[in-house]
Amino acid sequence: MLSTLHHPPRRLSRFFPANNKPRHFHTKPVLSSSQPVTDQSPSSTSPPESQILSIRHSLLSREVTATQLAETYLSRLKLAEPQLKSFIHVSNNVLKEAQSIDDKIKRNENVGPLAGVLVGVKDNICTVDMPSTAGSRVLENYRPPFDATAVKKVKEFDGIVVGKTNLDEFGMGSTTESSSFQVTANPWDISRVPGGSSGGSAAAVSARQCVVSLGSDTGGSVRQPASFCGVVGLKPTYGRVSRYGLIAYASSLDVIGCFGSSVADTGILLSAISGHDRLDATSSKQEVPDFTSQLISAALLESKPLKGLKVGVIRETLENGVDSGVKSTVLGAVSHLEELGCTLSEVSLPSFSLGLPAYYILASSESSSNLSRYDGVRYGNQAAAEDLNALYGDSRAKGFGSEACQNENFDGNVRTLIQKSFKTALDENDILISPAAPSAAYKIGEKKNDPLAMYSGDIMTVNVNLAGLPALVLPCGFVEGGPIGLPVGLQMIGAAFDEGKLLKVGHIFEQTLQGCRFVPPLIADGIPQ
Amino acid sequence: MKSTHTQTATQEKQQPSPKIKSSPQSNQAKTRTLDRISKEYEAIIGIETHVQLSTLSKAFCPCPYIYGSQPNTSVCPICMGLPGALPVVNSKVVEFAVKLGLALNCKLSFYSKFDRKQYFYPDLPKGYQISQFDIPIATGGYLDVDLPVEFGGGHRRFGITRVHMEEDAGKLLHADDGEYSQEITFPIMLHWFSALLTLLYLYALQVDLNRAGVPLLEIVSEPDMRTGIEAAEYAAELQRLVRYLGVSNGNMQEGSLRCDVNVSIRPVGQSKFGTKVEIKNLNSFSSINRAIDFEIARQALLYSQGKADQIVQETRLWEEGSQKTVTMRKKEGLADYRYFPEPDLPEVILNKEYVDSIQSSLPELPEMKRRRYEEMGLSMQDVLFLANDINQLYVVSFEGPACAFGLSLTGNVARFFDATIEKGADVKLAANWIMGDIAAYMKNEKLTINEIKLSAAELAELIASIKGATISGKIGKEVLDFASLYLMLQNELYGVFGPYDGLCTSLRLIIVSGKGSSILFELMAKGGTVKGIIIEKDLVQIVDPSEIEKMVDKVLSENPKQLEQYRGGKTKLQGFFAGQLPPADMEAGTPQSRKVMVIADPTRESAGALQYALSHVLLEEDELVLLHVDTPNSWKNPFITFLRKPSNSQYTTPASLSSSSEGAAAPGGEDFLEEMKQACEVAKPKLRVHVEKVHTESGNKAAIILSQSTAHGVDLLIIGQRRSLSNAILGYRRAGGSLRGSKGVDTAEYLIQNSKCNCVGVQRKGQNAGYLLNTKTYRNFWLLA
Repeated sequence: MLSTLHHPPRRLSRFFPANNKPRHFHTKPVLSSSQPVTDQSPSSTSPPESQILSIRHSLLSREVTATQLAETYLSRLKLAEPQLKSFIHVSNNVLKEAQSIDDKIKRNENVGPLAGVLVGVKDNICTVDMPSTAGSRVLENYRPPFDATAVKKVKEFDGIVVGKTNLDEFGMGSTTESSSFQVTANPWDISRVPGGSSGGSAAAVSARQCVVSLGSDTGGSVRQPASFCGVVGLKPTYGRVSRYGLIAYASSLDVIGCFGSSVADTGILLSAISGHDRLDATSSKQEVPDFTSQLISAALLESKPLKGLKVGVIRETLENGVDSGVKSTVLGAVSHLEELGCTLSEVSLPSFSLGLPAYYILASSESSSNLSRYDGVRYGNQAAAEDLNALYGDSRAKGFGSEACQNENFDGNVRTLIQKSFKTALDENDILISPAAPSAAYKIGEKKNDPLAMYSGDIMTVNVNLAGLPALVLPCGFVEGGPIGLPVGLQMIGAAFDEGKLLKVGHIFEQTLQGCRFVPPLIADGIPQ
Repeated sequence: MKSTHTQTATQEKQQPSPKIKSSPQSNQAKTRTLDRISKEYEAIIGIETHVQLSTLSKAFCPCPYIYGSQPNTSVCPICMGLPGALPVVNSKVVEFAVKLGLALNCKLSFYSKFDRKQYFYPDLPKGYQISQFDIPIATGGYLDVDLPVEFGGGHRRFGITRVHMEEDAGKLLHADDGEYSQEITFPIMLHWFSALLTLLYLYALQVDLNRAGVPLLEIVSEPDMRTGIEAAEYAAELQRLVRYLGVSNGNMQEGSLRCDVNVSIRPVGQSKFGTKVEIKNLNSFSSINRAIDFEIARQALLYSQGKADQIVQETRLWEEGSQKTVTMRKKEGLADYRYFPEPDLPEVILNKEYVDSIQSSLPELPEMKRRRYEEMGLSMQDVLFLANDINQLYVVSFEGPACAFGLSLTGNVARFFDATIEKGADVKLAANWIMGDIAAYMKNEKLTINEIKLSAAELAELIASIKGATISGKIGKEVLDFASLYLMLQNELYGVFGPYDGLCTSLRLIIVSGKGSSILFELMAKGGTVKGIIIEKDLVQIVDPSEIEKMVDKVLSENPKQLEQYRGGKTKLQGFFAGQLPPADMEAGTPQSRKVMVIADPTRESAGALQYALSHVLLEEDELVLLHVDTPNSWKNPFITFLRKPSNSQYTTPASLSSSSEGAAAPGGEDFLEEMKQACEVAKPKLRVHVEKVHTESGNKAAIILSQSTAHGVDLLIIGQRRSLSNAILGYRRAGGSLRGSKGVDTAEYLIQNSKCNCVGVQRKGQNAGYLLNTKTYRNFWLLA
C-alpha cells in the first residue's frame, strides 16, 4: 500500500537537503517482474509529443486518413474497454465524422485545429446526440437538447466526440467508484482506481482510447485522476471556460478542464474551449491568448530555459499525511525545476488546512441545491408511491447513490481567507508547486468505506478551486506499485488567467524530464505517431 | 358622472360588507355589535405585492412570455431547469427594478446579488427560486396615497420595506379542471426532449412552465395600513405606478399584480402586535378591501369572546363566492429556505451614471400629478379622477408586452388633460369636459381616450371658442351656462344662423355650448377640427356677448329662489332659466322674416307644437305654414279613400292625390285647421298664416313633409312628438295616431334627423310644465313654460 496517510511521516527539516546532492528522478519505472512490457524500456523514452499536432501533420500530408486514425483508436478503445470501463457511451458517429473530415481534406478545404482528434467527454457535460447521465441512474435516459458550449467549440474545431466517459455520480467522489454504472480501472494497474471524479476521462487518455478529453474539476476532479493515470490535466481559472452544459455539482467551484498525453495537447484543447460565453454569466470576458504559441520545442531550449522563474513550494503540502514516495518524487521534480533555472522558495499558506472543511461545506450545500431538481418525477426512475412526499423520497433514494445524499449547510468566509493567502504567495512567486495528490493510485474498494480518508485525498487540490486559480498537473515520476510502477503528478498553480505560463513551464519541464515514459502497460499495440 | 369613474379601488364599495355567519334574525344586531367591537381594536396591515414585469423575454433566458399561450410552448432548457443550463440576467429586469425603486423613493443597493431560495414544489423546475435575500435592490421607501373623497379623503404615506427581483414559478394544472384536458399536446415541439414533460402529462397533475422564469418584483410594505380601503388604495396606487413607469401591465386578473395581505389586530392602545394572518387569492382591489374587513371582524370577534388564542399564524384563502376567508394552511414557524448566494450569476453592481440616467428618464408619477393638479385649484375629486386615470375601466385585456416598447399603459387621461391645458385651455373647463361628456362617451363606446378621434388641441380650441366670447368672472358658471343655453335656443329654435367669417377669436363670435357638445361628439367619433365642423355645419352666430350678459343677469336677479336651488345642485333648472330668457333680439340677431312650418293634425301633440311655436318661436313679421298631411288609416274603408275627389287646394304636388276631405272620411277635417288658424290670429295678429293640406296614399307622411318643407323654403320645421319612441314600440296608440312613420319609425324623429332645415320635435309636458324639445343636436331639452 502506497498511501502513507496513516503512516508516521518522514520528517524533513527542509525540503532542499543541505548536502545538495542532486536528486535524480526515477529514471526507470520500477517494473513489476510479472509483466514485462517491451514498450516501456528506458531506451525508448523520449519526451511526449503533441498527438494533436502529429495527427494534423499526418492528415494534411495525406499520410493517414482521419478514418484510419479513428479506426485505430476505436479498436484500441474496444480492446481496452472490458478491463478499463472508462466509457459509459461510445458514439456511433465517429467514423462518419472522420469521413466528413477526410472529405474536407480531399476537397482541400480548411480543417479546424482539432481535425481528426478524438475527444472523450466526461458524462456530466451535455452532448446533444448522446446520453448525459452524470454517472447517475437519475439521468439514465436523459438526452440533453443542447451541446455544452465546450463541446460545441470542440465540434466547431472539427474535433470528434468519441464518447462519454465515466465519473463519480454527479462528479462527487475521488475514485470513479461511485458511478451508478461501472467502476473504471486504472490503466497502470487495473486493480487500482483511476482517481476521480473524471476517472474515465483520465483513464481513456492514459490508455490512448482517445487523444484528449474533457473533464470537470470541482475539488480536484481533473488533477487527481491525471496524477493517478499519468496524464496531463489542466484545471483552468474559474470563468475561463464556459460552464454552460456542465451538469452542476458546486457551481461556484466547477470548471471544465482538459486531459492530454502532453502539455501541448492540453494547451491546444484549452485554446479551443476557452472564452466568454453569453450563456454563462460567470464566464470571463478576459482575452484568450494563444496558449500554444508560447510552447518552445525541446531542440531550441537553452541550458537554463526557466531562468529567473520564481517557484514557491507550498510547505503544507509536503507535511504530514503525504506518501513518502510521492514526496520524494515531487522533491525530485522540484530539483529538476531548479536545474532548469528556477528560483525556488518555500511558501506557507496558513489557511491551507481550512480548505478541506470549507470545501466540503460549500460543495455539499451547493450540490444539495443543484441536485434538488432530480426529484425522480422529471428525470429518471419514478418509484411507485402512495403520496407525493413518499414519491419524492423513494425516487430520490432509488436514483441517487449514497454520495449524493449529503448534508446542507453553508459558510463562505474561509474562502476569502484562502484567496488572500494564495494572492500573497503568488505576488511573490510566479508559480506554486505541490503534489497533485497525497498518494498514488490506490486499490479499488480500499477507501470506499472510509469516506474521510477519501475526502482527505482532495487536500492538495480543493484550495485551488476555492481560490478559483488555474493549475496544471503533469506526471513527474513513479512510485512503486502495480505491474510497472505508478505515476505521480506534480501540481503547478498559477495566477488567475495565467494558464499560458503554466503551460509554458509545464512544457519545458515535460520536454526536459529524462528517463520517464508515461505510457501504461495496458496498451498492447503502439501509439500512432 | 365623476363619482362613477373614480379609481377601481373604490369601485365596488357598495358590495356587501363581511358578516360573520349567524342566524338571520340576529344578523343585523350582530353586525352592529361587530362594528362596536371593531372600534375597540386596531388593525395592522402589511402587503406583499408581486409585480410581473413586462420585459420582452424572461428574467434569465430568451423565452418570451405571452399570457394565455398554450402550455409549455414558451420554454427552453434554461427556464425548464434542464441539467447543465445556466441563467443569465436580463438587464431590463435590473432597469425596471431600479425604476420602481426610485419611484418608491427607496434607497438603492449599488451592490446587490441574487440568492437561491430552496423549496420543493412540482412547479419549481430547478428545486429553487432565484431571488434576492439579504441585499434587496431597493429598501426603505414610501408610497403616497390620496384616499377617495367618498371615503373621507385624506393623504397617507405608507412605508416600503424592500423591493427585490425574483423569478416566477410554473403553474400546476389539474387534469380534471377541465381548463386543460389531457388532449393537450405540444403544438410547438421545440425539441424532442419536451417528451420529458409529457411524462408529467400522463398523471393528473400537470405543469405548465410558460410562466417559470418570468421576472417579478416583490414589494414588501411596512405594516402601515389600518383599514381595508387603505390597503386597497395602496395596491391601486402601486398598480398606477407600475403602469406609469411601463414596467408592468399591472393586470390583477392575469396575475401580473398579486397581493398577499398580512392582517393582525390589537386592542387600541396596546403596542405589542397581535398574531398575524396571511390572506391570499385576492384578485381585485375590492376583494382586498373586503377580505381585510372580514378578517378584522373575524379576529375582533374572537378577541372579544376571549378566544384570542384561536387566532393562529396561518395562511387563509379569500373565497369570493362566500365572501369570507378560510384556512389554507397553518404555518409551523418560519420556513427554512436555506438561502445562499446564487453561484451561477454575478453580483448586480449599479453605478451612479446608470441610476442617474434612469432617474432623469422617470415620467411624472401619479403623486406628483395629483399635487400639481391640486395646485391648479382643482377639487380633490377632479384631481383623483384625472391623475388616477380611468383607463383600466375600459380596457378589457392587454395584448402582448406593450410596455416593453416603452408605451406606458396608463396616465393617458392625465396626459390628454395636460396636453389640453398646454394649448391654453381653462383648467376647470378642460377638467369638466373630460370628466363629463368625454368620459361618458368613452364609457358608452368602450374606448380609451387614445382611441377617440378628438385631439387635445381641438378640445382646447373648442373650449376657447365657447369661452372666447362669453362672460368670464362676473357671475361665474351660471352665466356661462345660461348664456350658452340661450344661444343654443336661438340657434336651434329660431334658426338664426350666420356665416362663419373666420374670426373665431373675435369676442363677438360665439359657439353655443349646446353646439359645443355636438361638435365634441363629432370630433370624438370622426375627428377633424373645430373650425372645420363649424364651417361644415354652419354653426356660427354673431352676437354681442355683453347683451347676453345683461339678459342673463336680469333673469338671474329676477329669480333668486331658483338660482339658489340651482346652485344647490338642481341642475335641471337650467331649462327654467333658459325659458325665462326673452326670444331672440332681432335687432342684435337677424331681422329678416322667417318661414316656419308647423305640422297640423287633430292631436294633442300637434296642438302642443303650435302652442310652443306661438309662444316661443314666432315673431310678428314671420310667416307660418300649417301643413296637414292626410294618410289613409288602416281602419278606413279603402274604397272610400280611393273614391276621393281631386283636391282644389292651392298647393299640390304630382306625387300626391290631395283633397279637401269632406264627410265622415276625415272627421273634423276642416275644423281643426280652422281652429288652429284662429288661434294664431289671436296670439299674433300680424302673423301671416297659410294652411296646407296634402293627401297621400303611400302612407309615407315624412317624405311628403320633407318635400313640402323644401318646396316652401321653410326655415324652421316644428312637429309634435309623442312622449317617447318606446311608447310607440310598446303599442301605445291613440285614435289619431297619424304621427307614425311608414316603417314604424317615428315621423318626428325621422324629420329631426333628415330635414334640410332645422326641425324641432315638441312634447308638451302637461298644462304648465313646459316642453321637452328634441333637435338634431340637442336631446330632451326641457324648456319650462
